Amino acid sequence: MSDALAAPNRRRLRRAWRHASLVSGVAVIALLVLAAIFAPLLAPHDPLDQNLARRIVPPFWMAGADPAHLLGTDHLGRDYLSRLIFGARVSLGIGFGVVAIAGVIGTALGLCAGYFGGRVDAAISLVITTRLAMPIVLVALAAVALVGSSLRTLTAVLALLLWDRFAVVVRAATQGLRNREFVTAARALGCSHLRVMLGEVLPNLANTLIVIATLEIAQAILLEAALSFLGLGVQAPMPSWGLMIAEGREHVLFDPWLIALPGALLFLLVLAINLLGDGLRDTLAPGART
Amino acid sequence: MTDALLDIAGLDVTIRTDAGELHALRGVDLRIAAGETLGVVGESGCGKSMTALAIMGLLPRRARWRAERLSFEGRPLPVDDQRAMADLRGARIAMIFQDPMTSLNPTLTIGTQLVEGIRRHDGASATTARMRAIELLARVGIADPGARLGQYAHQFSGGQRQRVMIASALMCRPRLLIADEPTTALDVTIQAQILDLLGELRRELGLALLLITHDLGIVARMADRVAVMYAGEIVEEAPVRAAFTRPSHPYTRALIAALPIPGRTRPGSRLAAIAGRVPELIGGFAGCAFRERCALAAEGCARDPVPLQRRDATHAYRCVIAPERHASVSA
Repeated sequence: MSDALAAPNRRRLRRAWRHASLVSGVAVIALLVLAAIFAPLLAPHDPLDQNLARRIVPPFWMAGADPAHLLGTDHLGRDYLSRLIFGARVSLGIGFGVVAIAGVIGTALGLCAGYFGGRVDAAISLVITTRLAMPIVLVALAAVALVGSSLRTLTAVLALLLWDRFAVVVRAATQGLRNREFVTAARALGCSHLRVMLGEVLPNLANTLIVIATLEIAQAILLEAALSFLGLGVQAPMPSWGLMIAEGREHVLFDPWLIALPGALLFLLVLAINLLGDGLRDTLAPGART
Repeated sequence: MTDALLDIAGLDVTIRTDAGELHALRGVDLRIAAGETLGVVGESGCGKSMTALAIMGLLPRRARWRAERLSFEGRPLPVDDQRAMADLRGARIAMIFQDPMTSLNPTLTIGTQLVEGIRRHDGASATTARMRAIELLARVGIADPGARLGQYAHQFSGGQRQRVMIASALMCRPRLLIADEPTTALDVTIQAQILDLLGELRRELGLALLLITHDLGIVARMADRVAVMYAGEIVEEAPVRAAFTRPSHPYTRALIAALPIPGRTRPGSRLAAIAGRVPELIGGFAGCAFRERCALAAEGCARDPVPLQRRDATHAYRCVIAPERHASVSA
């Protein structure tokens, strides 16, 4: 009892700190986020500056490296380190942007379906099932091909495709919470349905939402890379890791590092986000306030 | 009789289920005067809570209701008008629930939940609402109320949580408080404290109390009048003293007989119980619902409907056999 009274938040923080994967995930993500934010300060060169005389300079650990280009240059002589740093902006921007929009859509639909039940639930469940029946990559490809690709349309299209997991989980969790007595108690206090949904039910979903959001961010980032690789995502010359892999494709035999570097970063970011998600799930769940 | 705060006549509630219509309430009549305490007793599933939810306009979605009269403060209750009903709920009629463990939201601070209602109804400023919350928490016996506003439900004990619930129900100075088994989830000593608190507050604030319970002891201690429910019907209604000294329905009689009396019920002896089970309320229904468990059941009991008999101006019961004959038959 005295333990419960002693600042549960601090206790949770201590437990989080001991969680190795959570800490490493947060560290990697923090590093990449900082790099993305301060990209203009960190990048040694302009990521769009071409120098055809110095094409495909190898990175520092290989013979013929140039100290001015730490990670070498690409097939147009652009500084690879600078492009990787600016590429983090695209990946993270898409990841967070998509999940912010998709999270709002999915949570709103899930809340309504779970809370009201009946016909509302039937209608929203139909929408959810319809969405689940669509192959994401195919639909995204078609949509982008139709509308034309830009960062904004890419974000919008992915956001409209990735809300399903939010909706499904929130709907189920809300169904469980709807009949709890504190919801009836809030109604007995004169709270409106909207107020109960946002004020009483939503706070109980916070932990779940955070965990889903992290997983969806990872998926959005991978999808962006995939679409960019296929030429339907971010357009050249904007630096995106997916696009860089596509551009390095032709040189894979002789200069595999052109693909390995953006690929490794992509892998690292997605891994870190998943570690963060797992860690949050572990630390938030058992400590849920009762 | 026209000065009743809450006046219900002929309230029927049916619930659609897969097996058919469930008649949860059948012709319930209830009146509560301002400042009065009405105890509603009966076993589980007899419609006590359903009555409370009907008054609050919080019946489950599948439920349909019909009433000859359903009025509060002289005006019909706008049960089907969600908005108008929400204005009354919490402001004029408040309700506290059985389990204080689950009726507080685990993710919000006590303070947030306390001020919610008063800000919504009276448009009180955050400071005014907070002051009122502190005042009421102190009144219901929570020490250091200012600091405890920032805490969460799990940092309160069961009894304290029920005190918080009572405080939150009283925030807007309601005229009627519905308490749905307010002490069932608490242990006996806490139970007594909470009941004392409710009694004090009722006297202080001139609150009318609809006390739902299955504990006759609580009714005897708290209520002015008692309504005994069985299978969705009120089978007897009387002033508390009359109900205990001259029970007029066999069910009330059986309930009272089932009470162990300290000193007189010998330790280890079997407690009296009422044989049989509550009848299925799904589908059609005729005659007295209690007849299958009733020692006095006769042919007339299957006839429909069992009329409400008056013993005197305040004492009514629903049985075809005159209470004078009960004793002779059952003895």
